[in-house]
This record gives sequence, C-alpha cells and structure tokens, in this order.
Amino acid sequence: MFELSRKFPLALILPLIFCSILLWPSVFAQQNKSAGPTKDRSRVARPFNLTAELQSRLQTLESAKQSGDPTLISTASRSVLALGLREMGGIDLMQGSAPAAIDAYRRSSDFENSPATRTDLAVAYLQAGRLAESLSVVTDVLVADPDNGRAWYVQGKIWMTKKRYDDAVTSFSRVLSLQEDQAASYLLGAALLQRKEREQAKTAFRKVLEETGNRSSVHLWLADAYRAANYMDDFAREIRQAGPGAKATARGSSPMDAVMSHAARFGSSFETAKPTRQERPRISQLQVELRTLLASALNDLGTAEARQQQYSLALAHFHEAASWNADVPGLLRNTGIAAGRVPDYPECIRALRPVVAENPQDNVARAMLGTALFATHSYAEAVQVFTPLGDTVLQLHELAYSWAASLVQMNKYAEATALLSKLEQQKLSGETLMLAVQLWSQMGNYEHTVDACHRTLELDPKTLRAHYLAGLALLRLNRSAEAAQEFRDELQLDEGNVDAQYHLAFSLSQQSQNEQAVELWKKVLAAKPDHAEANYELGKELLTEGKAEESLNYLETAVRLKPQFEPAHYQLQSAYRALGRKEDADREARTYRALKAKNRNITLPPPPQPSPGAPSTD
Amino acid sequence: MSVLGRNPLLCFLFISQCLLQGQGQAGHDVAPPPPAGLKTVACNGRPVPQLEDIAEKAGIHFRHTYSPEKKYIPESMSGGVVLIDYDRDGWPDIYFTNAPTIEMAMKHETARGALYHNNHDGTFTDVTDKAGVGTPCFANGGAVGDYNNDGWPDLYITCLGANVLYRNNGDGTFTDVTAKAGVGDQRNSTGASFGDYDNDGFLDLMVTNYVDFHFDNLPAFGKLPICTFRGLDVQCGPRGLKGAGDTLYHNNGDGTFTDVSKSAGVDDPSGYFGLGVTWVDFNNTGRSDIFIANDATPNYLYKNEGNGKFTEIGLESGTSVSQDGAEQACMGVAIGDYLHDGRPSIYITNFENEYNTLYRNNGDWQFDDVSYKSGVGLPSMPYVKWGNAFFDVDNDGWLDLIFVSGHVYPQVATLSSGAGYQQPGMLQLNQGDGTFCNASDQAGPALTQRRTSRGLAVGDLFNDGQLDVVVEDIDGAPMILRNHGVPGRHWVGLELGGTKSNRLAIGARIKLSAGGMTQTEQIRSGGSYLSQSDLHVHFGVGTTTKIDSIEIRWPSGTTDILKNLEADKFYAVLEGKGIVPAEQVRPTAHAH
Repeated sequence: MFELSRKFPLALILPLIFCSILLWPSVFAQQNKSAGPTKDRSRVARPFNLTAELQSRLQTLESAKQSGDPTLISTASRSVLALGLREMGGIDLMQGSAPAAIDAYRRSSDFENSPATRTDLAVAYLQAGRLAESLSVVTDVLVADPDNGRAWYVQGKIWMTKKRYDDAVTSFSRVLSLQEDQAASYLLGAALLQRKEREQAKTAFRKVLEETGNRSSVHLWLADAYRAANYMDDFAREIRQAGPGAKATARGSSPMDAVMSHAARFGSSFETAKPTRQERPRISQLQVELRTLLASALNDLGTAEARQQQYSLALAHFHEAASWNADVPGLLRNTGIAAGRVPDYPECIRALRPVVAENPQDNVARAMLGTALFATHSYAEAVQVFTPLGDTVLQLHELAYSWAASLVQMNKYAEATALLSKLEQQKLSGETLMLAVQLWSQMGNYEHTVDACHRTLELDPKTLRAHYLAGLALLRLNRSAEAAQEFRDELQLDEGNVDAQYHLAFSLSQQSQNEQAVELWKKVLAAKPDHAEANYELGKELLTEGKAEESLNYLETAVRLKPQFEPAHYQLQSAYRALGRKEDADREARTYRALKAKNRNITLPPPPQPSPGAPSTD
Repeated sequence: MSVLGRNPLLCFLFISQCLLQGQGQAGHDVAPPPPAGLKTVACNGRPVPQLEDIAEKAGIHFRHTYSPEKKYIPESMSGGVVLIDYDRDGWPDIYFTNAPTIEMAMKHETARGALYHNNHDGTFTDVTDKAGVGTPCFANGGAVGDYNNDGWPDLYITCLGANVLYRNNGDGTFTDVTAKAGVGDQRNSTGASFGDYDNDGFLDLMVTNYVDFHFDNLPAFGKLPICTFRGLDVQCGPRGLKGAGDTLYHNNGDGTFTDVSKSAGVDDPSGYFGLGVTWVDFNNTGRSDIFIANDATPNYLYKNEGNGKFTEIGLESGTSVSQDGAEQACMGVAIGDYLHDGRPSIYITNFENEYNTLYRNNGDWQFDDVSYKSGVGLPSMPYVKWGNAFFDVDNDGWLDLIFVSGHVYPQVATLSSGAGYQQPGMLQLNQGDGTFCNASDQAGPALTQRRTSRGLAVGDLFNDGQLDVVVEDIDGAPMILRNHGVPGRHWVGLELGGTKSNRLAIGARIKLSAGGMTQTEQIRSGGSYLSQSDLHVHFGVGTTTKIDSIEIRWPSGTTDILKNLEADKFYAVLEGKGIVPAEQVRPTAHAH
C-alpha cells in the first residue's frame, strides 16, 4: 500500500528545467541568430523629431547595447524611458488627457527622479483637479529646488484655485523675482486684486500691457481679473480700452476660471499650449513613435533584467512594453521565456505558441514551450512541441526527462522507452537518474527502476530515497525479501523515514513475517499516529488474525484519515460484521459501494457516426 | 549525507510513482500490489497425471475464427466449450462456440461452431451440419439443460445479439426454439446456467450480459487513455462501456419462459460486466443461489430467499471483491467442496496482475478470501485467466484446480515485459490441508503450452474413470487434454435422472463417503468461463475400492441413499428408485 496523499510539486522541479534550457549552449547560439532580445534592440524606433535630449539618451542606449553589459543597458534604457514617458505625458497633457499624463509622469519618475518631471506631474494633477496631490508634489520640488520658477508658478496657480491669494501672491512674486513672465505677472495682479490691493495690481498689469504691446485681448483678460475682484469700474474701463470689436467673456463662466484660462494664453514657458489643428497630426505621429520607443526600451530593460535573472521584474517590463506596442519584434518571445522562468506557465504558453509557430527552428522557445506545456499537464501538445527537437534534447537531461514524462503520460511507452534509453546513455547526474526511476516505474518496468536506483547509489551511496524507491519497485516485482533489505538500507541512511519503516513492515508481511510487520506498523504509528496506510494495514492484519475487536480502532482511524480510500471501508465493514455490528457494517458497505461506483463511473464518448450497413444486435 | 532525498525532484518522482503505479490496465481496474512472500509450491513426492492433447488425433479440427488485432472487445471474449451428451449414450460430446470478427459481422458473415460426436473410441466426428447448430449467432458461450424435461439435453448459446435455445430433438438434430421459448436475450450475453430456483421441476435460466455493444456504435480502437494498455493502443472496454444487465428466465413448464429478472432482484441495475455464472446451493438450504463473476466490477452472490426473490449479498458474504476490497476482473467461476467440509467454495479466474481468488465457504453465508494462504493466488498473478474448474484430476478424493490463460490484447506481444499474449494453463493439486501445489510442469507439455485459451470444461470423455479437460482457444485450435490418470486410484461415476426433479438432476447434491473421506458435489449447469462441464457426476476415491455411501438430495427435496458400492464403476440413479440400469435415466424415444 503506497502513499497517495502527497501533492505533485511540479512547481519545484520545472524551474530547474527552464534554467537548464537557458544554459543550453547550442540554444544560446540559436538565440543570437534568432529574433531574440539582442537583435531586437537594434530595431528600436528611429528618433523622429524627438527632443535632442531624448535622442542623445537613445544614442547612449545603443552604445550600451553594443557593449552587451546588462547594467549599462538597464541604466540607459531607464534613462530613455524616463524621458520618453515624460514626453508622452506632455503630449497627453497637450491633448487634455490629464489622467494619462499623470500615469506617464509618475512612471517616468520611477525611472528617473527629475524635478522637471515632478513639476509636470504637479501640472497634470492640477489639470485633473487633484489639488492636494499637485501641491504636495510641487512643494517637494520647491524644497529641493527653491529657485524653480516653474514650480513656483504651478504652486501659485494651485493657491489661486484654492483661493489662497496671499500665498498665490507670494508664489507669483517668487516667479517674477526669478524671471520675467507675463502669465505670472497677470496672475499676480489678479491675486492682488483679490486681496484688494488694487494699486499693486495695476502695477503688475501695467507690466503685462507693456510687454504685450497693449493688445486689446489683454485688456479683455484684465477686465476679467477686475470683474473677478468686483472692481466693476475698472472692468468697464478695460472693456472700453479693448475697443468696440473686443468680445467680453461670457457672463455665465466664473470670472476666476476665466482668469486662470487667460493665463495660458500669454505664451508662457510655464504653460502647456494646446496644439493647433495643424500640429495635431504630427503630434499623433510622434505619439506613435514614442509608444514604439517606450516598448523597445522596456524590452531592452526587461532583457537586461532577465540576463541578471530578475525574471519577475523582466516579465513585468515585457508586459508593460506590450501595453505600449505589442508588436515590437522579439517581445513576445522574451515574454514567454521570462514567464517560464518566473514561473508563469500559462503566460509562457500564451506567448511562445505563436513564436514557435512562426519560427519552428527556434529551439529555445520550443523547449520552453514544451516544458511549460508539460508543467501544465498538457502532455499531448508537449509531445508535439518536443518532438522536432529530436536528439538535440539529450544535451539537456531534464528537458529530455520532460519529453519522456509527457510520452509516458500519453501512454506512449515505446517512444518513452526509446528516449529514456538514449538519455541513459549520457552521463547522468543522480538527480536525473532518479527522474528516470520515476518513469521506468510508471511504465511498469520495475527491473529498470531498481537498476536506475542502484546506479544512483553507485554515484552516491548516501543518496536518500534511492533504496526506498528500489524497495517499492521490488515489491512490485514480488521480491519482497530484497525490498525489505532496501528499506532497511534506507533506514540506515535516514532512520526517521516513517515511509521506509512502513514499507519495510509491508514487505515483511508479504513474507509472512506478520509479527514483525505488526510491531513495525505499531512503531510507525507511534511516530506518526495519523499514518493512514499503517493504520489500515495494521487493522487489516489484525482482522485477518481474527482480532476484529483490536482491528477496529486502526480501521476506523484509517477511514477517518482517508475517507475516500475504499479498501479501508471494506475492511471496516468486515470487522464490524465479524463483531456482529450489522448496522455499522452495512453503513460501511454502503460507503464502500458508493465510492467504488463513483470511481468506476467512466464512459467513453460516443463515436462520431454510425457505421453503414451494420448488423443489428437488437 | 546527500541532500538528494530532500530534493523536490525526488518528491515529485516518488509521488508520481505512487499516484500512477498500476496504470495501463486499460478498461480494467488498477490491481492492488502483488501478494509477494507466499511462494509458489511445486508438487513434490506425489504422482501427477499426464494431460495429453489429443485433439488432432481425436479428429477435432475445429478452429475458432479470430481477428489478429482484436480491435473490439467482443473479439476477445468468445470461446465457450460445452460438454453435452446430446445423444444420451453416456459419452460426453463436445460443442465449440464460434464468433466472427466484427468486420465479418458487419458484412453479415458468420463463423461456424462445431458439435463433435463422441465415437467411444477416443475419436470424435463433426456432426454439426446434421445437428443444425453451426451458426446460431455471434456466439460466446453455452450451457446445457433439459428445459422441457424430455430427457434430451438442450443447448443454450449466448450471443452478441439474440441468444439461441436449441431444443434437442433426440435424433441428432436440434431445433431453434428461441422465439417460442422467449429466451432470446437481445443484448451481449456471455454466461448462462440452468437451475431450478423454485424447485418446481423445471429448469430456469440465468443469463449474464457483458458490455452494451452495438455494431452501429463501435468504440474507437485505442483513441483514449482508457483504450490503451502499457502504452499500446488496444480495444476499449469493459471500463468505459456501459454494462448490459442480466436476465433470469423462469420456466413456465410449457416450453416457454418468463423474464422475471427484475421481480426476482437479479436484473443487475448497476450494469456490471457479467461473465461466468452458475447456480449453487451455498448454504445447504436445498435452494439454488446464483453466483456471477463480473469483469472489473463486484461479483454477485444472489441468495435465494425461497419466495421467488433473491438478495444480493456479495459484499456482505465477502465474495464480491478481493480481500483488499479491490474489484477484480473476474472471468470464470468454479465451485467445489475442496475442504471436505460439505460447503461449496468459489474459485474465480481474473485478469493479469490479479490473483485467482479462492473464497472459502465458512458457512452461514460467510466466505474468506484464502487465495494466498491456499497457494492459488501467487502463481496465477502474471496471466489473464479464463476457463477453470475444480476437478479431481488424480482421483485422490480431493478436488484439484485447473485454469487456462491468454491475453485479451494481441498488442502485448510486442512488450518485453509481462506474460505475453499467449500464456500457459495451470494445474494445481489439492494437498488435503486447504492448500494447493503447482503441478503444471509435471502434467505434460500440453498444459504449459502458450496459447490464447478461453473456455474450459471437464468430463470423463472416454469413460475410463479419468476426468479429461476440453479447452477452447480464441485464436485457433482447441485442446482435448486426455487424462492418463494415476495408477492405483479409484473412482465412481454417477448419471442421475430426475423424476419429480428436472430430468438431468441439475441442482442435485451428492454426498459420498469412502475411504474415510466425505465429499460433496452438486450437478451444475454453466460455470467456468462461458462453458459447460459434463453433467455426469465423478468422484475420485483414492486407494479405496469401496464406496461406503452415496446420499443424493434431489432438487425436489427427496433423498436417495446408496450404500456399499464398488468403485471404478458408473451408476445410473433414478430419483426415488436408486440405482437403475442406465437406460432408465435416459430417454427412450425421440422427443419429436
């Protein structure tokens, strides 16, 4: 009676296989020739009217890629990403999409801590009406850089929006102390008006008028500032000065809102101007280019991280890259390989299926895909994927094991035997030999199982569980005396191995050494009272000896521990019946019957079509 | 110390092994671990009779039709052999069933069964054509009973499709009376057995059905994991296919039967895969119970409640599954009082890696699986076993065991491991202490020849006091294993005729006392694997030449006691009259 309760820790074995795949020398050679990460990086989008700074950073990234140094690539790609994202945020802001801009700026800040980007972020927050976040960000910038005029300007606008005009006056004054700016002067004047400091405001406005050439539109904007502060005479004057053709702001809108929007029209470097109709197509094109640039840079970054075995991070960056542009060459492949290493097998399969379909010669992707399919128990497809690898798979023993195991799962024993036999001609490690043990055993080739266990022990006589597994196979071969010796040997290496004790007892019982078996099972239960199989075997043995009363406790325990284990119910009903407890016996018999019926409830699907001309059995 | 043992790879390895061991049984259940430890005991220091295959020289040229690939399960199941003294000359004749391949059947082609007349000189003559029993159907097995009490044994053939009841006309011919009798079970019948469950003097008929199989709905060969075996594509079933239910026909006494399966409680609503079947009075109640060997599902023991109803007590009695609670792939069933305790025990043949099961009858409807203890389990493990019998092959007064084997999947011939496709038979001798030794290698080369055997029946074919064995193979020629006996051993033969009871005395219980031993036997129809042994009663009595007594309890309830008989003779016994000339138990005229 062997153990049935442990779980299948594929998750623990497969990373090793993936690791091995990446270390496959010939596969690396293949990778360099294929559309792998290295090659892909050369296809980063060409700069189209990107800022000079961004182009410069791209050059640096190209140089880093030439060097092949993952640290340099990582740094350079981060630098590109930071600026690229900032530019993307700028476009978003220009297009009035403040939430997208916020995301871009924040992500940019993840890659590079830039006061300019953070100020942009504050602007985006402000545009989105998220004043507290905007103020927080811009204040941080100002703490670090008190001479950042743009930050002061943004802060002033925040104060204006919050109607904290005293603070706004301070902020705009700081702006103007650092540099001339019409928008800042205008807003300073507007804030002063709100503080009823009309004369100081006029001074500020005069400066604006001087710098703008006394344009009628400026008079209208000043009119709105006066109106917002309820200086209606001044308002009327400015309207008059604007001239008969000038158009006052509609009464419906808030005067202060009008003031804030007028500020953007001064052409201030602090403000983001909305694109003109003519500019819009170019901006859209630039946006597309930026998306590709970002995807490529993220692909580069992920590749560098993957090379540094930071697979989770790499996978996240590959996914992020796909969100910008999923068509970046090599991205899907990189995603699949990183997913395999994380491991995220479904994602690995999703990504690598099309890669392998498109490039059947890509053995790395094929090996990865096959292993992921094996890991997710998709054995039929795994076999299909592995098969073209042929004997090259023998270079990677664990991979060959995966293929052989898939064949075994598909009951293709002849092919599995052929593959395993070839594999065993290689110089295998003890671990791989033990994997082979499993497959031989699974195929019912217990002689070979024992042989593989013994070869493992030749490599390392202290290999744990090799004797144990040999013992299990020998039990299958009816060689219980030899099995007992294997279990004894296992216990020499690991005296606390309860399973070996249990099976030693079992093999002794098979040799009619029942008394010794009973003693050992009792020992097993002393160490591990919830050992279901020991409870069962001991109970069964006692029942066979006619000790039904004594067997009850063990059998009841076995049933409690493994309620789905049919034989325990069967033995328990026998024990109850022997003791005249008919009702209990019938109950257990019912349970036994129900379990058996449930477990045999298998039906074949109907065949597709009736055969013509068939004789009737009816 | 290596850390390999803690490596997850090895955890994976071990657990996979535990989860998957035993896989590859295709449509059969996973067998429990093998019962090692108990050694096969060879028979030493005792004479073993030679079993010589005389089929060819006896003029038996029958060949079972077969499909080399056996893509469909019915192609693996046919091959029942029936011993029937159809002409009531006191010499058993032989009928071999035959079935076409599925491909042939699809083209409405048939396969010819064969009836061989015993020439009394060690040879047989093919009388099939005259008898008119050549092509009843896609024939699986058969049973013998005199359903109309005319004294002429009738022949019931089980089929994939409608079964056939041949009425023996008493003139060497048979007439298909299936339609009139109403016993043409349309399903996929395998086992059949006549027995008088209500003791009204007329034989009733129990028929087992296997899988629900239709030619217009063929299960695809090897397409699914359940249709593979050790990595080989093989036929599908029985697991995965639906069972077909069983039938009990009550004899109305007027040449017709009524299907009472459901009301009697023996209709097999669970749809188990029925094969071997026989009627047995397990608890000496005078009523015949039913035992059915089911493939890959629990066996049935139907206790006859005496009111036309049966209670299924397989599990409660300990006969439905192995001692581990495992459902076995049961094929053939043999019944015998091998312990001389007056109680009929049950011996069942099973699939590869499943031991043959010997259920010792402890009385009061309780049985113990003593397969290992008795030594019958271990040596049977490697084979796919079919026809079987309890019979006293060496006339020492103790019932011995025989079974024949052969795999269902021809594809296993390509495997290097396992017992192969063709497999040997086995003879095990009763050591008189509840155990059996293996005498296969000492009984002559015929039995251990690797073959693809199925049906097996036993009878004294040559009236020489030795029980011979007839074996039908599914892939070709049958065997007639002539028993050359053990010198100095004695025997007695009985031919019973019922008067109040059914004419062939099926169900009669015979208790013999001789040489300090008391043996019991019952005349049974059906049994083994889809086969019928001779209805004449045979006892070996060892070295004694005197039979102290023979007590016959007839199905009618009456008893005849015979005392002080000489051994090595055949006696005819008529119910209520005791020993009579043989002619008095046989019909005197043609039935029609």
